[in-house]
Amino acid sequence: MSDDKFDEFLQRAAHSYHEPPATPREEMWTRIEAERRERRLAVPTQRRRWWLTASALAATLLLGIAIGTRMQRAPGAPDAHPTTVAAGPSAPVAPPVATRTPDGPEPAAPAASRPPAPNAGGSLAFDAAAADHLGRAEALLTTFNTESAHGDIDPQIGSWAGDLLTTTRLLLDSPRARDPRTRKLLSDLEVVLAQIAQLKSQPDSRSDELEIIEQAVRSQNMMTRLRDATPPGSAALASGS
Amino acid sequence: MDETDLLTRARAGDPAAERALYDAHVDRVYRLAYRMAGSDDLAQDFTQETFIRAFARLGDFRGDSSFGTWLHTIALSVSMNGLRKVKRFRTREADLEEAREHGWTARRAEPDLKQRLAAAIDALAPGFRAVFVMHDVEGYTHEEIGSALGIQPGTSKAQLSRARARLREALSDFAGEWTA
Repeated sequence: MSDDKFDEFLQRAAHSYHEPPATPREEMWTRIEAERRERRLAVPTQRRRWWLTASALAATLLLGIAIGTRMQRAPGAPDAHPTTVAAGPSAPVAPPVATRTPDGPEPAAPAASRPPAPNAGGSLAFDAAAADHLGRAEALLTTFNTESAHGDIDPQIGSWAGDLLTTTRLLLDSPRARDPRTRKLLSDLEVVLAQIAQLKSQPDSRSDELEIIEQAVRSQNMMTRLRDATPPGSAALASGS
Repeated sequence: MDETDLLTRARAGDPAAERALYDAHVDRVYRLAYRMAGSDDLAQDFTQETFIRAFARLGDFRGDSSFGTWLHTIALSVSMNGLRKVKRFRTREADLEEAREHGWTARRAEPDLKQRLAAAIDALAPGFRAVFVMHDVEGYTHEEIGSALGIQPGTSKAQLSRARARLREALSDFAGEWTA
């Protein structure tokens, strides 16, 4: 068979492929106008209210992390000097190291040489902030997956991801972020959020970018890991439902 | 009034300018959406969504390409994403239909060449199909296709060549009919 003849045949025959009828101009214009009116009305009452709530919650979370970090570093905070022991008049004082004798029993190690006790309060605050943040990230990725499947990504999702990206970085930089599993999850999340945040500056033909993000979320088992790291109800609270 | 003036007025919210832009481009957008979708309902949905998005984002249009090219970028994105969603739904429907028909359908009629060609085009990967439909069916240039799909014109040519090769392969048992 000749390639040229086949190409000629294709050029002729392909014109009958899905041959369009006359354009229904007026019908479509009427619907476009109606749809635009409807969307203009829907945005302030739903999305903007949701965004205000989300922004307020994100600001609270950031403030909490900032306060937690400052407390961690403050001179008077217990965790800032974990080796300092409060010694009142009735408190037993450990014998100084110099009084030990080679033959005597091993005296108790002075408080100053003991390993620092973990600051349970600070860790709890970090865990709560991290769980809250991961719940928000889960809500964002759920929204992203849904909108991506419908082929209608809201451009504002980029700003949303940008906000979460900042918080992710703050959490990763926190000295409390010690748990390797949480650190790995936050690191992976940071990459995905950065990709979503960059979507807003991409042109409309972004199927490939969406596909890459969806694939990253799937291959890293992100949704399951986020759910595992989030107490029940966090995502629902984060999404405002 | 030229398109630049229309765009300036449309950005300022002038409904007459929006309508003029719509009138100037709707035929080509609808034809492309119909060729991609093969259904009037879907083509209308895709065309409407294209113009709604375009008007909502006119502020983002910087004029690096022509307005028509930018509009076609949106139209292709809307159509391809919309068809992805429809395909998922139709696959589920088809599975159910097949399950119902299984056992009693003796033999389907052999489709003719045009039907086979249409089925073969439908079966192309979305990117190949878009290039093939735009070039061989709607007559876009490789430069226009490249701009709309965000690829190089050379890539568009290569994809068209591969699309034709796949069609030739799919229609190999009709060899000779197209020489007649």
